[in-house]
Amino acid sequence: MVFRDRTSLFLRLRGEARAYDAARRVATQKQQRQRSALRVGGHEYSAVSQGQGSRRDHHDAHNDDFLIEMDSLESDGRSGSGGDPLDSTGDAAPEWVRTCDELRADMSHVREQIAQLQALHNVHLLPGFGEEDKLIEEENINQLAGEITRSLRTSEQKVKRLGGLYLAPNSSGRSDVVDGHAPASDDERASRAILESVQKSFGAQLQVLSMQFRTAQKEYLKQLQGQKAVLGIGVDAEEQERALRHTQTVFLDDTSTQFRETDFVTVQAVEHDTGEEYVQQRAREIDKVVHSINDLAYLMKDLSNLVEVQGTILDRVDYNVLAVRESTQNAVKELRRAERHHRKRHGVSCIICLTLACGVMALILVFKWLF
Amino acid sequence: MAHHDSVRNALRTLIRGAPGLKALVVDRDTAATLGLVEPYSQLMSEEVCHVEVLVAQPAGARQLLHLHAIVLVRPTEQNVALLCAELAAPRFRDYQLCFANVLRRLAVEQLAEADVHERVVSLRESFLDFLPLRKSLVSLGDPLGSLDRAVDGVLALMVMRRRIPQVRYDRNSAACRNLAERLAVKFDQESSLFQDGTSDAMNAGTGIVGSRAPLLLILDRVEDPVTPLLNQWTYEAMIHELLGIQNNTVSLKGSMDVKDEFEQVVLDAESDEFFARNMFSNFGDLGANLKELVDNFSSQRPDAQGHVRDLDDMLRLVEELPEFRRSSSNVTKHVLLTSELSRRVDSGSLLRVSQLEQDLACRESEAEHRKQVLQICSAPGIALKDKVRVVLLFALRYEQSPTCNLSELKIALQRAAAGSASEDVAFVDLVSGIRRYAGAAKRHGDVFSNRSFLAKAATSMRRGIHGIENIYTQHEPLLAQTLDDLLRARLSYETYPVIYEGSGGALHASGSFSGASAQTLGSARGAALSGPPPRADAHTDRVVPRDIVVMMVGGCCYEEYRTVSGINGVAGAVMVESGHTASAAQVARSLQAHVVLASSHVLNSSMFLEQVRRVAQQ
Repeated sequence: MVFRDRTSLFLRLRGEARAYDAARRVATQKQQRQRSALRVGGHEYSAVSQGQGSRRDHHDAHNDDFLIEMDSLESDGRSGSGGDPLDSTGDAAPEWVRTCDELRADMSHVREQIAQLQALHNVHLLPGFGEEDKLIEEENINQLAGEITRSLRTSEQKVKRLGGLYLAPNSSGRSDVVDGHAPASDDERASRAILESVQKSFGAQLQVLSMQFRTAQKEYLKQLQGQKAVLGIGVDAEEQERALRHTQTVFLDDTSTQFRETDFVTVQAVEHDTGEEYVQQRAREIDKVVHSINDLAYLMKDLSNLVEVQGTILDRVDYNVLAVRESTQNAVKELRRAERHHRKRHGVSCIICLTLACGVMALILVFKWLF
Repeated sequence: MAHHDSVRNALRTLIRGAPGLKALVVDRDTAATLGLVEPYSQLMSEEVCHVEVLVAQPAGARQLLHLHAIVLVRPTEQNVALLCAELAAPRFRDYQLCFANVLRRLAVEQLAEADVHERVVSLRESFLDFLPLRKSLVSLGDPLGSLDRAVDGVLALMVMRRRIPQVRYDRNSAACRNLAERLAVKFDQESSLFQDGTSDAMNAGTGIVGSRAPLLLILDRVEDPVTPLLNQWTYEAMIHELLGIQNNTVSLKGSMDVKDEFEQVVLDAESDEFFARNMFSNFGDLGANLKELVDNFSSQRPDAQGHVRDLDDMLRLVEELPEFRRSSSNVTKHVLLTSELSRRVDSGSLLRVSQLEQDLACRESEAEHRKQVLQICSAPGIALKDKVRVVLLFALRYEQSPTCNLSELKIALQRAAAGSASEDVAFVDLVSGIRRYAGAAKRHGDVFSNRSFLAKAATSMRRGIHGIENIYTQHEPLLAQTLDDLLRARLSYETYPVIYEGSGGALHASGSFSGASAQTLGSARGAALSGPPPRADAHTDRVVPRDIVVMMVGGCCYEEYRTVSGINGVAGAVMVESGHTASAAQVARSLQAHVVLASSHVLNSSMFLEQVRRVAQQ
């Protein structure tokens, strides 16, 4: 790779610079102490200036003093960088950082699981003879699909929580001129921007994953149906229904979960009603319609999150980074100009001038009349 | 080979090297490079959640201690000072410093001293100090053309291409010589950055042997002042000429009522397939292709396919919607651009002006041209700048002719200039200024092919026999001829001497040097010697480089980029079938040669006129 690494040189220079600093601090402290001792009245110490901060100081006879001072100095000198930097923040930052780490781990886990699921699909779709093996495979598939669904749902909730975490005066979590409430400070705005972009990036990754999962399930279903049609076996309604159910992954609000539960109940009730073949078939078709509507609803939700910016100016780093700066700079300039203008108070000075002029004219008139 | 991909890979490696949530600190130049190579959405998916420019932070700025910072800046003194201030009061958890070019040791010491809190994790140099506009076009974003920036940029480009090149330059030009000398010294100093390559030969079968050792050819804009003055009729060049392309973005702000999202558009050949196919098509073909695109697009619209019958259809429709929206914005962008271009062509009578320009550039006929130039100057409705351009072309071509009466033309221009904006009027003075910038005395090449009787005869014969396909694109830049000569090993070493042998051996002190400079450059330490030179029979075979980088001092044009693309074998880029580009392309194909064009900036006619004025005033 075309990098030239100068880290080792840098670290060595840094070490030398720090050692030099520490030694110099020792020397100046010692000098100060000596000076204060002199002032106190010990003129037995002739003014032996022990060199102005030269490194060779620590070779002289005051070695033990030096050592003690060195320790105390080190603890002083390190205070700037001391301890775990994270402790000093004290705001919501560590919490959402933890959420981010969890999300990352969850998503890589889900990715593995989806790969596993696809492998299981392929194995199951291979023609085989053992009925029990097939049943076991189906159980595994359904279990895994259920797990994936659950992980995706928790991840989506975490992503949603990220957005709501930064509760400023306006709870929408977006930029706030609309609310008529000026943003608290530049820093707050910056942090909110960071949170938004983090949320967007995780949301995008999650979306890709759930699309992957759904397409995998659909493919599997289609192939399964195709196979079973060829073999002349009627599709097992229950199996199909279970597979279809898992194609609806997650919804972000609660009304839809209720929807799904009623749906589940209807199907179960219908399934228990034996002998009514026609009714069963109709029920199955209604299920299909219902599932498609659910899919559609989910896709509509997808769309509201979609920001198709690829290939446009909004997707350019330099535009985003530099344009924002320039517009705020312009804003500052305008504000300053407005302030200057306001301060000049043109109107008042006009009034004063005119009044003076009227007064002067009146005086002239009076004198003219008098003489 | 492809520096474009190397830049992208380097950036990705850099970003992936840091764990967790990242912040990216850049400066204006590296932000431009980043913007060209990596889309913002891609950065966000790599968990870069904050991108900012390196500026002086006010005291007590908010700490972002949960972010790891990656700093990617140019190693200028100002940036180093700002970084020292930042490290003294660090805002991020840790810093990975990456400089876009070689960093001096003094700067490393300064940074080491400033890093009291020991937040810096690594310090690297990555050589991204140029703007990879297209696969074969590199710009440095420097309209003033400063020598230091050029040296840094070319060094970075060469490092990205991994090999030290052989350097040849135009002997007639002081600017080229300065750049070549500085580069030779720089290559020597930083030879550890390069790989030494094997020079395997490739026989083109016509007695020409291609060698892998790259060649850097330094040319001067002054040799060819004609190309930037011409009006262009191929899509990319035309947009730059009339609207101005800045780092692959075009601003449509002042033109007409455009929606906000289209005020600035991006022209990226990699993501935009229509643009990639039509970059070099002329205006007529472009219109036809655009109409086809629009027709295709409207037939794909969902309501054109009849009613949506059932939920499956609806599902499919909704799933395809993102793709549809993307292609819709793409089509809108091209329609807007083309309509703006055609509006300007009509309002400025550019067809008429351009016909005369191309004629002036390619044919010799003084009296006729003079009459036509005077007609254009007195015609209303043509912008003053276009009239100035036509007069300048006439002045350049017939400068040495005894009957050339420039004062008459100047008077006509001044009459036409009455009542125009003052900055345009200043261009009228250029008629005399152009001689100082690029007069016949300054050029040694034969950009009009009219210096010798043989050249004149050859051009008129070629025109007569082969005819002209399209009068608006009949001009070929001088670069085509130079590259043709180079690829056929006909480029004279007298006019284009070698200053540095590159991977082939030690410094070559050619005879054109004075003794003193030969002394300073005389150290025998070149790059490590590679394997034995290609097996070439010195009498019958000639060695030609297969990897050519052309550095144009003073700015290059999109028309020259089109020439280079034609030589590289891009379909549709060769406009003139019988010209130098076609013949060079043929040789390049048999040798598998590849040319890259680099320059300090990309010119259009307004920028060129401005540049001439600035130089003429000195």
